[in-house]
Formats: sequence, structure tokens, C-alpha cells
Amino acid sequence: MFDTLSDRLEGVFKKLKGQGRITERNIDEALREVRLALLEADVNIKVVRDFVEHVKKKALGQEVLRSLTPEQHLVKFVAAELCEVMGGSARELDLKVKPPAKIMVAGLQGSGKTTSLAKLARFLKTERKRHPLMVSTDVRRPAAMEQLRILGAQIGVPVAESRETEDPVEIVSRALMRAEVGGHDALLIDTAGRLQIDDELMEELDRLKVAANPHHTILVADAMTGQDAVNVAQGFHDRLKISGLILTKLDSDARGGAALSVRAITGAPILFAGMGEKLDAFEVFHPDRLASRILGMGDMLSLIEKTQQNYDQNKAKELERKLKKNEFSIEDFAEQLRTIRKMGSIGDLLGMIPGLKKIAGQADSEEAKAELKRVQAIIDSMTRQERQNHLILNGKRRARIAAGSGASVQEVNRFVKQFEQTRKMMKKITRMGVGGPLMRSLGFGR
Amino acid sequence: MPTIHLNTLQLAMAIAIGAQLPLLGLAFLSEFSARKRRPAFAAAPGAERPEAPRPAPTAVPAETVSTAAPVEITAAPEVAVEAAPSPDAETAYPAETPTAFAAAPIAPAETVEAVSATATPAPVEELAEAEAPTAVIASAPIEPPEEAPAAVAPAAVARPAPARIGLGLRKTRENFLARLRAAITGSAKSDEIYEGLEEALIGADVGVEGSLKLVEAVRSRLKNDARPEVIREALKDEIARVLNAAERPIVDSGDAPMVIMMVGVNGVGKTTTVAKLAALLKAERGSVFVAAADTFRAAAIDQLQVWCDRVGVDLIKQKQGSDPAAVAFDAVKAAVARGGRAVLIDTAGRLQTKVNLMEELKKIARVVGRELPGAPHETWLVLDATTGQNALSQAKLFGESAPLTGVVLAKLDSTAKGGVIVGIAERLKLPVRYVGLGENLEDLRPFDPREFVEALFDESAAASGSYAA
Repeated sequence: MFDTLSDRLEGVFKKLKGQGRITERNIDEALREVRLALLEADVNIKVVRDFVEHVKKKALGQEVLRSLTPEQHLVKFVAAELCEVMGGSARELDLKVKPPAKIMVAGLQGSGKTTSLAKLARFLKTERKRHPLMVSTDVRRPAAMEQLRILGAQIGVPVAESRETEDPVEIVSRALMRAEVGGHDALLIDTAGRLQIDDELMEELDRLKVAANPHHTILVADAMTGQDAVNVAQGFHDRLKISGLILTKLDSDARGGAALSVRAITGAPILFAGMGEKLDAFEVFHPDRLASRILGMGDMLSLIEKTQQNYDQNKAKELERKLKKNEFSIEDFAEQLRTIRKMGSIGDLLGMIPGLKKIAGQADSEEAKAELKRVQAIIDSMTRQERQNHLILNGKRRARIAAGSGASVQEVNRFVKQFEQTRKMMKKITRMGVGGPLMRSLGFGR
Repeated sequence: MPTIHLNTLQLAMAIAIGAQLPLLGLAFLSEFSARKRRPAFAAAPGAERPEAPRPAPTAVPAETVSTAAPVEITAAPEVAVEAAPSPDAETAYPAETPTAFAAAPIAPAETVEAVSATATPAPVEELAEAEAPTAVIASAPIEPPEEAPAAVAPAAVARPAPARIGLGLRKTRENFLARLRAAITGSAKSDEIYEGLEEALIGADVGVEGSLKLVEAVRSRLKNDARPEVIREALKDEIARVLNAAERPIVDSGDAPMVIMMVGVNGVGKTTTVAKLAALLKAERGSVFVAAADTFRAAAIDQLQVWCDRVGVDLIKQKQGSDPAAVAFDAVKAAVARGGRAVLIDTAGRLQTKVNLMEELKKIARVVGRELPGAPHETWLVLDATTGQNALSQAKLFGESAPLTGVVLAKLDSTAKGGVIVGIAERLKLPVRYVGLGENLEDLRPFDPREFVEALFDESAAASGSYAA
């Protein structure tokens, strides 16, 4: 929906070029575009103001202004600053404490606390080789405790018993004892969702915090949150001294500007990002990736990571070998197609690549979909042998495939021809090597 | 029309390959875009981009394979993926970000011939493991500096003049001209007021574009009237007008039970809203059936069961993991057979970008419609009032799969103002049906545009979290 910041800045600077030199006043005009980009990404208006002021101070007198392509330098500068403001690099959750490490989550209703808690437990268990215990103190939402029990069973992490009729503090005290006795080195405490202005419930959090004395108090925030993120963060931080953040629903198409707002208020590091409904869709947070996303520069790393969920090194090597040797068959192609179907629509995937947003929609057009469907039908109508070696496709076979797939013989011919062409192209690129001369010539190597 | 075929295939293939060899897939995409826009002259890699206007790449060679493809890559800037930071990129980007996105300036004019001899091709298998700590991904969405104007409309051209955009954001008050104008027309005062209002709207999640547009409409109507109350009231009227224009009556299902399907992203409050709505409909219409079509989230069915017991309505359910369409079908069938007056379908939360899950919604609607023609009579999107501009994307994309007839704005008892519904009303003409104001069953109220607008501007309402004045 929105244009990238570079596109916009280019417009600004194009005008400035006509005026000759770039002055302090000019940077104001450029920074206005930065402001707009941030506001459209839901960064809070006050946070935007401070950030832009900060960038201006820092950017003035720097090479940003002397550069030949000022817009690019400014975008980079802004992205770097954004990244810096969000913590620079990925942060580890500090577990070097006297066990059990006690971690409590808090947040608004529906921000994703329970799911995040289970994801964190799974992360600690599988990635950090810990033995966590979970407990729900949510006596308010119907079946919230049941939900955590089910999730615990799914990931094989025990859940301390609790009832909706109990006092949350009571539940936590008992869970603490169980964690110590049971040799658990981490205790993860789920709390009920609440508004930061609900005094009664915020008071309950106070009491919980006193009772549990957690090492980490983590605010779970929805990446889609708008301007109100600052109020929420302020409310929870004032009360609880937030020590870390989990940003959820980052697998959405939200720009995620709330992260900047929340971070600006609490100063706490963003530790993890929730990337999906499955319990392993949980990642260490990377400020640089979100910075580029907020600025509308696409989310290439996430794309690559997404592809890697389905990544199999041996398969990849095999695929590459086939491409090089020109042995890539229709069967291979069909398998690859299946893989991406699992990842979402082609348009979704393209949308994550900077600059390709424009064609992302078209790739999902009805026409394109129908086309892919036809290709799929043609492939499905081939025999295994034909898929493995399309050279055997003589007229008779093609006629049969056409009849089987409901396509015309011409369409089958076209597909085969294009497959051949495309394969050649892939071979060429593969031979050159990624990062090699050809890629470099296309701007890949700079 | 062979072009369509080829381009779709290319894309599919690039992405498909990319699934295993991401960089290769991208290279492929880029190759095709580059082939189409390869300019007539070459520049050595690493060369500084000349500042002087260069000839526009008018001589874009006719691509050998296609011309009028529906999937047009020509307009797309290249994507750059580099294996190791080149000296150029290093100097251009602060060193403290090890795996940073760098929007490196790319001269789009390089051709295959202009290959630097020193370039060392990196082994592909290494690159495929993009997690390698040294890998720097440089993205460079750049148009050629002097693009042929007609080819790609630059973003800036299509936008309103910057002078207008900046009204709320720029501090030009100290500017001499502004002072002069103020002295002559006395409009400086109103400038300040408008600026404040714009910020208030943006702060209420109305969005930058929407806020500027609304304020501009008022400004052009009122001219130089600088009375704050007048301006404020006019702006309220303007917003109420937009909201009212989107209103439409709820579909009358006649003698048949009215079927309402509730959709939304995860965690917006669908289940709670369904419970509240069930209570409301029970009081208004009598017998209500609820379909537990969220068969995905753990304990979602238990949660709904507790609510339905409290309200005293029938819950139609199956096991977790069963087909949501089948549950919805059962509920409608039960309602028809037992003389129910309304059916509420509680669907699982889903992000609007998940294609499969959107297809699932289509299926639910289809299956329900087969049992009872005309059903679902209403499909309501539940929005979280704290959600920002993404709500627009939600309304748009959900609407594409399950044609929406209304919005329920949940969690309006929070400090958030829910201003994004103004944009939704304007662009998608979607009416707000109800607002959620708390966790109790009675905390659901019909939407009142006027009340909403008052709360939008009411600072104290934000503090106390009350929607009603």
C-alpha cells in the first residue's frame, strides 16, 4: 500500500538537486518523509518526533549531506539509527541466575501471552536444554488454564496445577515450590490479560510480582498495535518495571512500528518475535530486520528464513547439482512447487522482497493463479517417466497429456518449451555462481 | 498469449527454486527483471554514480520472451543480495550493524559485459545457508535516477504536494513568510489549531493520510475562521459524516434464522464478542445457536462452552481439530430444525495474509449457504481497538475472502481510540455494528458514530477508558 522510503526520498532529493546544494532546510524536507513512513508504520507520534529530532542532530554535518545519492545515505542512516534505537543487535535472555529462573509475562488481552509462554518454554527446552515448568495464573478468561495445559502437553513441558477459584498469588507460591522440589531450572508464569488502566488487576500483578520475584518481567505486545502502544507500555512499565519484550504476530503484514514505541518507553530489549501459530514459530528478535520492515524496505531475511523452514541441505545440494548439470526435471519442479504452496502464496513471498511489492499482487491475480493451476494439471497428467525426462514427450504423449489435463496440445507444447527455456536460464545462473560475475553485473555484488 | 505462461512459470520457478536455494531464486527473479531493463550503456561495478542526469534508459530492449506480461517485472527494482560486504557498502553503512539491511545505491546500468574480473564467485551451497554470520543482505529498491517519466510514476509525483502534507509536521511557524502571512490574514492561529487536530487524529490511529484529508476538508470549508470550537466541531461533523455514510441496515433473514459469521485475526476478542452478541440476540430474538468453529486454538471450544452456559444458549461443537465448516453446517441445520432465530459462527483467529486459512473461511460460508440459502446473512470482522493501520489490511483482505458486512470494534474500553475505523468506513464503506467495552456479557453496545467521534477527541475519555461521554 505504501511506497518505500527510498522511493519517497528520491522524490524529495530530485527536487533538491535542481536547487543545487543540500542545506539544513533540505534535510527537514527529507526527514518529513521519514516521519510519514514511521507514522504509517504505527510508530507513536511522539516517539517519531523524538526520533526524527535525534536523527537530524546526528545526521547534520555528516556525509549524508555531501553524498551524491543523498536519499540512499539517509535511508541507510535512518535504518541504522532505528536499529540502534531498538537495541542494535539481538539480545539473549539472561538465564545465568540462581535456578529456577523465574519469568513472568504480562500484557493486554489477546496480545498472545499464553501462546508466547508455551513457545518460550519450548525454546528453553529444545534450544537451551532447560527443564521449565509453566503455570497459569489466569483465573479470569474461561479455559485459559486448560489452554496452557494443552499447549504444555503438546511440547512436553509440565504445567503446575491451578484452579480458577484460587488466588493467583497462591498458585504462584505453590508452583515455585514445585519448581524447586522438582528440579526445574525455569518457571514460566502466565498471567491474565488486562488493561493497564484496570487498577484492580494491575494491583494483582503487583502482588504476583512480589510473591514470585521474577528475574524477568516480560511485556507481550502485539506487533499490530497502533498509537496506543506507548500508553500500554507506560502503564505496565510504571507498575512492573518491564525487563524484556516479546513482539507477537510478526508473521502478519503489519509494519510493526509499535516495537519502536514500546522500546522507547520501557528501554527494555525486545527478546523474541512470534512468527506464527505453531509453537516453534518463535525467533530471537533481530532489530535490523524490523528496522527495514518499518521503513518499508521489505523483509528479505525473514523471507529467507521462511524458506529455510522448509530447507533441507541435502536436497538443496542435490537441486543445485541438477540445475548445473541441466538435469532439473519437471518432477523436481513439481516438488518445489509443492514446497512453496506450504509457505503461502507466491504474492506473499514476493511481497517480502524489497521493490517487488508491485508485482506481488499481480502474481496472485486470478489469471496467474489459473495459469499455475493449468501448469499443475499438465504436470499431473504426465507419467513419472515423462516428468523425469521431458525429452521423451513425443506428439502422442503430448496429446494424451492434453486430454488428461484439459489443456490444449498447444498449451502443453508451450509449457514444455518454456520449462526448457527456464531451465537453461537457471543453469546459466547456477554456473555463474551466486555472487559471481553475472550476479554482480545485475547489482548483486555491490 | 505465451507471455503469461512464461512469466507465471518463471515466477513460480524462481520462488520454487528459492525455497531450497533462496539466493538463487532471487537471482533468477532479478535476472528476469534485469534482462528487461538492461540499459544501453555499461558502468563498471563500484563506479560512482554520476550526478549529472544520465540518459533515461529509453532503449529498453524488447525482451526476447515477452512483452505484455501480466506479471510485469520491468517496473520492479533489482534486489541485491551480496555474499560479503564490498568496500563500497562498507563505507556507506555504519560498521556497528553486522547483519544489517543496507540499501546500497545500485547503478542499474551494468551489463554482463561489465563484469569485474576480480569478482570471486562464492560457492552456492555456502550462500544457500543464508544464516552464515558474514552474509550481508543489501536491499536496494532503487529506480534509475532519471527514469523515463511515463514508465514508472515516481511515488512523489502521485502524492499531494509536500507543502500540504507537512502542515501537521513541519515547524515553519518561525519562518518569515509564514509570519508575514499570519500578519496579513491572521491565519497563523488557525494553523496551529489545525496542526494540533491533525496530531490528535494521527494519535488516535486515524492514520496520516486520513487525518490530513479530514483536516484539509474542514480547512477548505472554513477558510480563515480561527475559532477553535468552530474548527473542532466542523471536524467532528466531517468524521461523523464519513462514518454515517458507511452505515447500512443489517440483512433481514426473514423467517429463517439469521446467520452471522464472526471473523478476525488472533486475539482480537472474537470469542468474547460472540458470547456478548449471543446474550444480546437471545434477548432480542429468542433462541440462539452458537457454532464452535474455532477448532484450532487449544481450549477455544471449552472457553466458548463456559460462555454459552453463562448466557444460556446452545453450543454446537465437535472435537478440536475437526472441520470448522462441518461445525458451522451442523449449527445452521440445528437452528433450522429447531426453530432457532439466530446462529453465531465463532471462527478461529487467523492472519489475513494466510492464504489457506482465508480459503477455509470461504469454505465455511459456502457450506453454510448450501444448507440455508442467503446465509451467512452477515459477516462481521472483529477488530481490536488497539490495532493500528494494519486494521485496513485486515478489513481489505478478509473482505476478499468473506465479503464483510460490518465491523465489531472490541476493547474500546482500553486507552486506544480505534480511529482506524474512520479509514475503513471511508475506503471500504464498512459500517461498525457494535463496540466492545469490557469483559462482561453486557459490555457490548450498538455503535453510535457521534459518541465515537466525541470520544475520539476527548482526552479525559482516554484516561478513564470510557467510551460513553
